[in-house]
Amino acid sequence: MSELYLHVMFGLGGGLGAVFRHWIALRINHDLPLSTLIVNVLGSLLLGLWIGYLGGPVDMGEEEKRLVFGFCGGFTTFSSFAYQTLELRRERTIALAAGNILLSLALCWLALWMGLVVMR
Amino acid sequence: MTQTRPAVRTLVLMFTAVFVGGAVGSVLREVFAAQIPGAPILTATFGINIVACFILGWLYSIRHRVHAHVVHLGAVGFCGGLSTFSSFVAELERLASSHLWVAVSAAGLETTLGLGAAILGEVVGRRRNGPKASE
Repeated sequence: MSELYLHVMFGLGGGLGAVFRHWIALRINHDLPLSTLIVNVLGSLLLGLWIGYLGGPVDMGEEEKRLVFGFCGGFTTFSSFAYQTLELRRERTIALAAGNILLSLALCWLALWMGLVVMR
Repeated sequence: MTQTRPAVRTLVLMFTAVFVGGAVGSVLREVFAAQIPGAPILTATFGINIVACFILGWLYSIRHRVHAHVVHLGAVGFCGGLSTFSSFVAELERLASSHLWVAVSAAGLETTLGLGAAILGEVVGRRRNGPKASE
C-alpha cells in the first residue's frame, strides 16, 4: 500500500470530519461556542475509543486506521476554540472565556480517557 | 423549485470548500506531525495548532474583504483540519502518564500561545488592510 494512498485516506477522513463539524455548527445556533465544545468532546471520545480499540488484538488495515484518525483530527478543532475564546473575552466576560478553556480541556480529556477505559 | 436552486448551490459550494480545506489541512498536519517527535514537555500537535491559530486570526481579520467561501475553505476547512483538539488531549494524556503537572502546564502554555497566535494573526491582517481600509 503506497504512502500516497494512505495520505489520501487520512485527507478523506479529515475532509469528512470538517464537513460534519460545519454541519453541526450550522445546526447548533447558539450565542456561546457550544458547537465547537460538542465536536471537540465527541471527537476526543472517538479518538479514545479508537486508540483503545487498536490497542487490543485487532486485525485492521492501515487505511481504516488512517481514515478514522483523519476524521478525528478534521472533526475537532483547536483554532476555532482559540478564536472563539478570544471573542468571548471581547464580547462577553473574561469568566466565560476562562470557563470555555477549562471546560473544553476538562471535558475533552475526560471523554478521551473514558474512550480508552471503555475499550480496555 | 427555482427558488431553492441558489440555496442548494450555495450549500454545495460551502460544504465542498469545507471538505477540500479540511482534507488539505489534515494531510499537511499528518505530513508535518510525522517529522515532529513528541517533546518531553510539549505535545506533538503544539506547533501545528499554533500555526493554525495564527492563520485563523489573520483570515477572520480580513473576512469582510473576501468571499464567504474563502472563509469556509480557509477558516472552517483548512484551519479546522490543520488544528486538532482530539490529538491534543491524547498528547496531554501521554504527558500525564509520566507527570500530571507536565501535562497541565503544557495545556496552559499551549492554550495561551494559541490565543496569542490568533491575536498576532489579526494584527498582521489588520495592518496589511490598514491603508486600503482608510481610503
